Amino acid sequence: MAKSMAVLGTGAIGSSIGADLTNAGYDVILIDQWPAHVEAMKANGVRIKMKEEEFVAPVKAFHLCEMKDLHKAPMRQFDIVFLTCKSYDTTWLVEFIKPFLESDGVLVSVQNSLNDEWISPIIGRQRDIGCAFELSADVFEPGRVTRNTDRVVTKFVLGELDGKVTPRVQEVAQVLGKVGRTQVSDNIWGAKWTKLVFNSMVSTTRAALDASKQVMQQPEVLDLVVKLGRETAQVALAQGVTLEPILGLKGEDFAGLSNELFRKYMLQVFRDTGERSTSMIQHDVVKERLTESDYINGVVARKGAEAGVPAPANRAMAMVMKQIDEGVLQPGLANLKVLQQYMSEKAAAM
Amino acid sequence: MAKSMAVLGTGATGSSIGADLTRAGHDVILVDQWPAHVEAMKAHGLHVTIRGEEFVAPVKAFHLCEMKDLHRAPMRQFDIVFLTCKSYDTTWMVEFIKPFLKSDGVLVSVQNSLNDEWIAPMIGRQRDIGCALELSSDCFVPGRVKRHIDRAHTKFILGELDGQITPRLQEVADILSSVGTTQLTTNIWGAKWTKLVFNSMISTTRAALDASKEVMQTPEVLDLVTKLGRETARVGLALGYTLEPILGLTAEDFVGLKDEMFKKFMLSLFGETDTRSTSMIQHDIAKERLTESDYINGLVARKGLEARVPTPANRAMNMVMKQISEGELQPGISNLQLFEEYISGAKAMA
Repeated sequence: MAKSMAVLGTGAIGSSIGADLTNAGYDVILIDQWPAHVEAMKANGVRIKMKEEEFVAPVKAFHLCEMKDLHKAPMRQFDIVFLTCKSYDTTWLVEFIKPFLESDGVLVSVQNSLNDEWISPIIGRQRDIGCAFELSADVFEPGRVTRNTDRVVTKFVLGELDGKVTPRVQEVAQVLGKVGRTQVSDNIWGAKWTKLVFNSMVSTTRAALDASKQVMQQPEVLDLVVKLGRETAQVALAQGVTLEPILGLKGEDFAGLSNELFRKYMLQVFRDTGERSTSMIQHDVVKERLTESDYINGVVARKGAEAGVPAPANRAMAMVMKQIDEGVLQPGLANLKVLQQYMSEKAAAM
Repeated sequence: MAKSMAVLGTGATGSSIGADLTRAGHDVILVDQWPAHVEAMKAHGLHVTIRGEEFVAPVKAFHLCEMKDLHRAPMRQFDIVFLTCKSYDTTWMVEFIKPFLKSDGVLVSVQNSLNDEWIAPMIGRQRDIGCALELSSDCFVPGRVKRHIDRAHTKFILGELDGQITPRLQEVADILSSVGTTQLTTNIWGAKWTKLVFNSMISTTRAALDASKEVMQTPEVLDLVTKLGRETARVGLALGYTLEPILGLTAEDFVGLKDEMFKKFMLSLFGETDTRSTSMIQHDIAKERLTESDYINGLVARKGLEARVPTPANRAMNMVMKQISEGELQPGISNLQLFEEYISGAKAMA
């Protein structure tokens, strides 16, 4: 029988996935908390604009409150739920969808951070599949999504939390194959931590400093980036995580790079960065939306405290981003000084 | 400083409360998941009729997704949250509001069932206040609420979960006094169980049988009502709850009533019922909405297992109501036969 699927939290990422799955003929619904976006999708479908393609997908969109209608027999429950909301909306949306997830169904967290850690106690570890992904997209107006990464560049690394390669994880990979490239991993925690290394050193730095790729290449900025990345990698290693290769290096070697070499590597990364590329955190700052920084640098700082590995740079970044979220600090290069000051304070409160 | 408040899940009950608190000049917002209702409130305020009185309250209404805007400084957090959603929406709504509840704030569960049992572990027992309520209203049209009983007969019994009478409890009672009469109790769990006795014997029975007050007075129906009420009271007593007096009797005496006396008591109760009164469960069925029966009879059945008290009538009621919720069974007096079969064991219960 055809699998019944839902995409929950259909902002830019979820809408991109939902559109491709709908067009591939899957039995899938899109659920979101933004009424105007849902109304637009109900009325006109969702319009996806990619570099060389633009299309409208006739998605089935639901408001949260409409899910209750599913209790009429035959009760609609889902075999696969793709959770695509922001990290800070995770726990309540998982509680929300729990009654609609089949007892042998799976929820795939297509998110940043390490959310599976708090998702699995809610729905049971055996129903949770992890995913590290590369997909950049924006939704600036209801019903219209700009997808920056085409299907060849989009990537989903999928894995069971216990590392087993199961038929169902392969099935989920097959489904997501309609959206981008896929890979099944026996080390999903390592893959997610590796993504966290990049997000913690690049995504928030670009947002906090409002930095172009040129600014990212300045010595003081590179210095900050190196501190952030090294800390995150060290925390991961201290937690016993096997990092995936980073810039061609093993996690241990990456964390142990000399400052000079580390900077050289990062310099090359930023030189190779697209001229107009921005981070998803930058989009949120522009939209005055709450960013995921607490689930990136904040998580690293907390995990560091747990593991006894100091993470002053991540802690400082989380503090600065919090103030940007609150609107009391503006993004800009001037924040370098603020970050340096926080890093020098040994026991600054978070 | 004025307390910052939110009413979360503003269906009929929450809207009734939100309207009166707004009129009383409190700093309160209404948060709901039904987009059309929120839009109507934003555009025209909330239209309330209450026994001949009619007014429009200029409430501040928020979609769920708009709550994120509150992260801008000064971050809006609430001193008091009135949780007024259906029982089945409790856990996700509590997870949703958790980041917005002050560390020394309180959440008041203005709901049926024993939801505080699962709310307290989520937000901490010290932030949870219980409430047993008498408030009948309906909301069939977005932005319009009809209260069936006037403020003098609307009643909120409030209690700390540990039974202490605290200043904050008094404060919550003072606030709710603009909505109805209030009372503080040292025995909120007992008060909620007592409410459960009534709900489990009357609310769902009226709905399952689509019974008028006259039908409720027929011998076969009284027989069912007697079984239900006695079971629920027994389970409560077995679990160590101190039930409040029921129809002027101590719970022990109530449980021990001979069938005939029990029926007499119930007969006089139904005789006094307003002929136009309907139960909230009946409204849900009319709207084809999921009812709270699983949190009423279903809960009694589960608690009965814990307490090793048989609850065949509550189990049967939960089964029948589930089938009605699913649309597989129509409400009606013919369901009496089904109850007999379930309770006697002629028909197996899952």
